[in-house]
Amino acid sequence: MIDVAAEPNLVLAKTLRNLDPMAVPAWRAATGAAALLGLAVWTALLVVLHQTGSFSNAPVLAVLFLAGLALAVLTAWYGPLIEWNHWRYEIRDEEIDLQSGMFTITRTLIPITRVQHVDFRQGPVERHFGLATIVVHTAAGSREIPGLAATEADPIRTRIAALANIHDDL
Amino acid sequence: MSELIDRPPPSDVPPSRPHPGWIISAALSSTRSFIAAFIAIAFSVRDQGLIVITFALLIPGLLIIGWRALQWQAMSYSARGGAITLSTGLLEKSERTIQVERVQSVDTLETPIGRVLGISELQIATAGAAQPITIPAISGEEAQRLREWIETNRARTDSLGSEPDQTEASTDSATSNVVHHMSGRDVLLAGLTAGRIAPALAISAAAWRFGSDILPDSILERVPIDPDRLTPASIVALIAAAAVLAWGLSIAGAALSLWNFTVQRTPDSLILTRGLLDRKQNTIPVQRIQAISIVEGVLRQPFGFASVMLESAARPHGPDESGHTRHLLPFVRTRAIPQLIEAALPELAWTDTGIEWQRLPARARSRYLVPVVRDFVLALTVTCAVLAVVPRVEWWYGLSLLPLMPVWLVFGYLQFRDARWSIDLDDRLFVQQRSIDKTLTVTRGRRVQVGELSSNPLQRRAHLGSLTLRLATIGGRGTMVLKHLDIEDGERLLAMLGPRPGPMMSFKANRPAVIGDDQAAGPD
Repeated sequence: MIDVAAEPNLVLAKTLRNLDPMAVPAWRAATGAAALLGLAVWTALLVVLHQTGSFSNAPVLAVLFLAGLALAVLTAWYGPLIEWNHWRYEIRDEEIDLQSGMFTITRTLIPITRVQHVDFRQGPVERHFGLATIVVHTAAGSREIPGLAATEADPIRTRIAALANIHDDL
Repeated sequence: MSELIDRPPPSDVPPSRPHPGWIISAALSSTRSFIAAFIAIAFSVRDQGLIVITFALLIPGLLIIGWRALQWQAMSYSARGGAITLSTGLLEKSERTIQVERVQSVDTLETPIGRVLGISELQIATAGAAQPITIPAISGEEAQRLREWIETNRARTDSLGSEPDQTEASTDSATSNVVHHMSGRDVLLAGLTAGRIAPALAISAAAWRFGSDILPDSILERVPIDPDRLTPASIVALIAAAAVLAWGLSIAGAALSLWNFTVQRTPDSLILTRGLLDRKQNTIPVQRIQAISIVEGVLRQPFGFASVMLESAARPHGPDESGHTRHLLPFVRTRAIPQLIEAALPELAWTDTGIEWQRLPARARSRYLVPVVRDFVLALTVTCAVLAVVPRVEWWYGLSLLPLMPVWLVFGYLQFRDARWSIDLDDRLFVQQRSIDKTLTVTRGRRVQVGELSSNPLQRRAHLGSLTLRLATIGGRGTMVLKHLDIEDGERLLAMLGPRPGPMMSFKANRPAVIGDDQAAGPD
């Protein structure tokens, strides 16, 4: 397994909080479904190539199929893990501090007085894993904190809303 | 406008109808859209004599006027209780209300027809993507009265994040002074250097094709162009003619939109007036200004000229304004800008010498140059590959692109050199960046809505990151990007953004900044 957390040059302050560990299986389920779909399309393409005779080199086709399979498995298994390892969030009195990203790691800072409203969102997959997403809206677009434990997300939303309920001079 | 001092504060506006002149101007504009129908009617009854023709045209015309009169009768606007309300709609009624403290800008638009009728259109915009409230026809005095009502009723909150300004408090409450007026020469030069040559060229090409579609062949045959005998000289002449035409269009466009451009300052607002045929006036409360950006276009920078744009959260509506950006000073000498800002926006004024610039580390230089070379080699390969397939053309013709590479490299280097930033003790944030034009954005750190620092694996190896700071001006120029700055500098800058209690701390880079134009800060 790739020990992403040990990567030396992360942008983040290590004190920020991790997402709920259940986010990893939830994301694996979601990316797994997408990867299966992609693999199905890839396989269909290879089969069509073979059947129409336009490219019928069987060993090469087999290698291409295996490469697709490997890519799908790696993406679905390790992708969510890497993302989870990179994800950090913290809600402070003055700002919301987020960090995310698979390869390009992005640290996002939203001054709390710039928050216009906060949404609580829970899709079917998230509900099954007991997770929820918080969406923070500002005048310059919105940012999501996914993979929070549903029981935890609600107090977080309430806290952001309370902190943000300050004079807004936009 | 000194006579305003003696007037009492404008009273509330009871529900009132727009100016009746709207019926005529609206009827005229719908006549324009039915012009084909009118021509068809006139054509079908052309043998019936003048009286029939007159009636055939008069009856639909009267119907349109009657319809517009009914619509006019159903419209009403009011300004009272701290809100502006507009009700419209004959069959489907709608009523929109804007709280006065939510008003981001008040714009009037005066068309040539409207000028004859003595009416203009008034737009009251709020933040975000919502459509502004538009009072379609209003007399000049009434528009002035509404603007004053908005200005006096707005709660006087802080301006641009600064402390309430003492110089402001001491001035009379309803004076305005002209800060800047654009001369005809400036309008001409602005058009010449607008950098709108490419779109104008496209327009002239389209016009040419359109012309060749509708003009009879006999005329085209007289035009001395024979596709089989195109010589290099005639191609050059054609391109030159197109360029001159494009330049002419660009100047005409500048004249139409920027003629008589005037900036006025009242205690609470900036008033921008402009336009040759359509005259526009924008009133923007100073505390609603998110940022200003000084744009030095490639065609303007060598001559020492620049334009200053104003970013607000209101979305202006009009073909020549993109997103949330408006001209504040469309064409001025770059070195005159600090004094002009001092007069127009003292809340944000600065002196060039007072800025402690922070720069990118020298190790960022290669990150600016390598992608240029990579993209260029890619483009070259693709071009040569395409040319190799095209018959009668040799693949190595593509190599004629090679002389362009130094130009691109110079731009890459300039992008590295011109990227710099500063934040001062008054929370004034300066970010300079270059794509092709050099842009310096001046705002307050507290105005930043979202700050992002990202770092890809290559950047992480060099301890570099890219910083993106977003203001509440989606689609405008209110997004500042600093690519490949030191990660810790980026984190420190991020930490200084947003509204904070207590005094600002001065930004200290983690290494001494080297002052001077050509050097970047720090060791490699």
